[in-house]
Amino acid sequence: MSAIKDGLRFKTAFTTTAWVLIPVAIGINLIGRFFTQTLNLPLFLDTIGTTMAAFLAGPWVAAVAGVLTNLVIGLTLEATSIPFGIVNAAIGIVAGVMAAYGFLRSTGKIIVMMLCLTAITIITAMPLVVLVFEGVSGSGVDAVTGFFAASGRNMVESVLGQQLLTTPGDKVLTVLLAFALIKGVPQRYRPPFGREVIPF
Amino acid sequence: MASRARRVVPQTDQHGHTGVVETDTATWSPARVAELYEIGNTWLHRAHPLTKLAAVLPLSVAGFAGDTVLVPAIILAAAVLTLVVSRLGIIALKSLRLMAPMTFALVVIHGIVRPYDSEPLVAWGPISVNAGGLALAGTTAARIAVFVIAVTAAMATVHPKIFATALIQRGVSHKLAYAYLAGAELIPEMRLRATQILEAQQSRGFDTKGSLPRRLRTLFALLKPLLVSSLIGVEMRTLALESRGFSLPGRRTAAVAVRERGRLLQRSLLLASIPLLVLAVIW
Amino acid sequence: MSGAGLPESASLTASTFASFEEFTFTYDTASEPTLTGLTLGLRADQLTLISGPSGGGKSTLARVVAGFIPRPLGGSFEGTARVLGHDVESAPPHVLTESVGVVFDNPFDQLTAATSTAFDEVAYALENEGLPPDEIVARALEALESVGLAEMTGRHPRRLSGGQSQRLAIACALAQRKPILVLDDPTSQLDPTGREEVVSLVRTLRDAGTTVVLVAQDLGHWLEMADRLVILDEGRVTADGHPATLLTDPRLFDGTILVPRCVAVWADLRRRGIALGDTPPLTTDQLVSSVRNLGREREPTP
Ligand SMILES: Nc1ncnc2c1ncn2[C@@H]1O[C@H](COP(=O)(O)OP(=O)(O)O)[C@@H](O)[C@H]1O
Ligand SMILES: [Mg+2]
Repeated sequence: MSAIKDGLRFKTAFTTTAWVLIPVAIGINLIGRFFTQTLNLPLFLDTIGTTMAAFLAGPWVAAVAGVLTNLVIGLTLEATSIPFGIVNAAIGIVAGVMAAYGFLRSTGKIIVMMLCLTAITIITAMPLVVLVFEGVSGSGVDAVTGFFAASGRNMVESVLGQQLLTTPGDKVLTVLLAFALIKGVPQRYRPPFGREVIPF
Repeated sequence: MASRARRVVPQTDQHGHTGVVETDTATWSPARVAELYEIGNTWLHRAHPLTKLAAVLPLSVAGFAGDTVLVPAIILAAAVLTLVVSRLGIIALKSLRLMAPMTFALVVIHGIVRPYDSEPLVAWGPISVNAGGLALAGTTAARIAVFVIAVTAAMATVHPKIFATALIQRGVSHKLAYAYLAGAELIPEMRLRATQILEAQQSRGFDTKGSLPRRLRTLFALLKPLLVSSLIGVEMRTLALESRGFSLPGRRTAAVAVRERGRLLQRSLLLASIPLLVLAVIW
Repeated sequence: MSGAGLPESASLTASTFASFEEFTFTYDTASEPTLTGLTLGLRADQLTLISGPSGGGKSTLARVVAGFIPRPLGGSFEGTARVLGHDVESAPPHVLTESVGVVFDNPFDQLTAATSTAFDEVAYALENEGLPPDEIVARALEALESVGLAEMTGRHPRRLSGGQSQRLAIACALAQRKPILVLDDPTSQLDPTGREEVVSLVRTLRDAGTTVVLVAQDLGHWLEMADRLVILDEGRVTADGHPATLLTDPRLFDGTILVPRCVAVWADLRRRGIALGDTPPLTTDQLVSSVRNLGREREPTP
């Protein structure tokens, strides 16, 4: 299981393949984001690529893919996405570490992983949304936040309510789609870490 | 300005423009070069990329000074004015357009939707606008706008390649720079793919029938081959990069080096953020 | 060069730049070896054409020569493979990738995807080598010119045609001044125009004395410029020799390789008892002229 160890260690995780995989992950993140934006869905689906990178190359590579996704969007498209790189990276780290510890081997464990990803998303995103952006994100989920706010709740409660409503679905879909994508790629084309954490 | 093509002459001039721009207008689209980049030769274009980036921090921190919209609004107005005078009004416009959905959400949630005890400012039937909420929305929007306009001005006036070169010259890993550039290249491409697929789907009437999960499923089915083939392509690109010296040890050079200058200014800008932060907190 | 069908000896002569001795290679994810007991020597200053059925191991052989096996592509092997005097197992990192240029079949997957002009794409490798800016610019422009892309320096790499894109990949190797060029089925994904562009560029390179290892499933345009043809099937060399000599072997017409029409016509006529010379024509022009000759021979001489 040396490939798993290599993927978990910062020094060995960044092979040339990993560096090439990162832009692919960014592209997949972007396409999910563009779809949800264009269709005005109350979802983000902008971490499918990060999650996929976590399953294929481990937590550190995924974290870099996550940070870079938001940096690329932030520096070439919309600056407001830069702070959320923290959320994207945290998702990558949790998904990668859990994948390394066998959480992709059974349905029950995958559900646990989805719950953990939901939790880490809320934990990292809440402070940003509440403190920096006063509860809004400029996307479809603001309607949900507004709904809670209208019922007289404070911003922390409103944002938490919105996150509890939208994040689980987002993460369930994200993990399923990342998994389905990898399953479409023949074993020989998957990086060694990915071959070991999803050995089928 | 963006639609005017320039001749490609690899040059080491201070503008840092290299063989990076299309020669013929016919096939050139600015989106293909970079989503945000505005070709030009203003003082902002000529400034060192990292000086512009370093300026984002003190400006954004200063935006948080005071409890009211006053300070961020002044900074914002000054920034817009500077950009317009520098014939870069398009950057101000882009930044403000970017702020539109967020500002709208802030105004609706804080100014209208949230119940307040105080007297409403105006009221039409069920809709009432609250002054306190509106002020909070305005202050928040202005603060974020300062950050957005600073980042946009910094990044819209530098070609991504020159930006990456500047970073590499200061010791940032060239591999990280590679991933950044490759990611930036993907933005117009992925957006194009997304619209193409949605249009194809709509023209076949997929959007009318079926629930959301079903629509998502058809979307994924359309996308999957593309995404899988890009994952399969990773192996070949890895080998191609190895062949182009990606993992060679040693220093990187650039066809067009960025002239090293403004180190002191950049450090000062970053350091200036500290007293500004203190000021913003105690004020 | 030995007779048709017999593998050439792998003895390391002065002009042999790559040699395989009983080389058996198995990819990490494969259960069967991809190359099996391969014994082969590749000579410098030649164009060696490698052909054979799909899955026969051509790309794998090319990847060994290019320095990608056993690392970074993982796998295990027996026997030896030496390229440019280095055992591929113990070669210092980068010596092979720095000496052997590669062009793959997919025109776009082999782009860096991080550049926005053809010029930057070629300059990328030179920047990694740490060359001074002046030299990077000079070499990149020269290489682009030599592959006929002088007008395209500012074009976005993704907006090049397939043929232009393949020529760009060749330009990258030329700019790096690599003495050996490995082309892995460089025209298989191109339209006829693109194929013609690449074929004539390779002909120019060969005429200039470049060492070329060319993998091609469709022998069509390449036979006439090849100094040697090696057929790989199921990881073994099944035929090896000069194309004109080799293609007289009827066993090669069982469908394992795609022979060009001129050769097929020659073989077909031969089977029907019409001999158009002892060796097959390697181009349509050669076929036409031997048919003309045949006509003249038949005419009653006054
Ligand atoms: N990276 C790899 N991992 C595992 N098996 C591989 C890999 N590359 C090729 N193979 C297998 O090796 C065999 C030969 O492949 P290849 O060298 O590509 O043949 P060719 O180029 O002649 O079509 C095929 O069966 C193929 O599936
Ligand atoms: Mg092949």
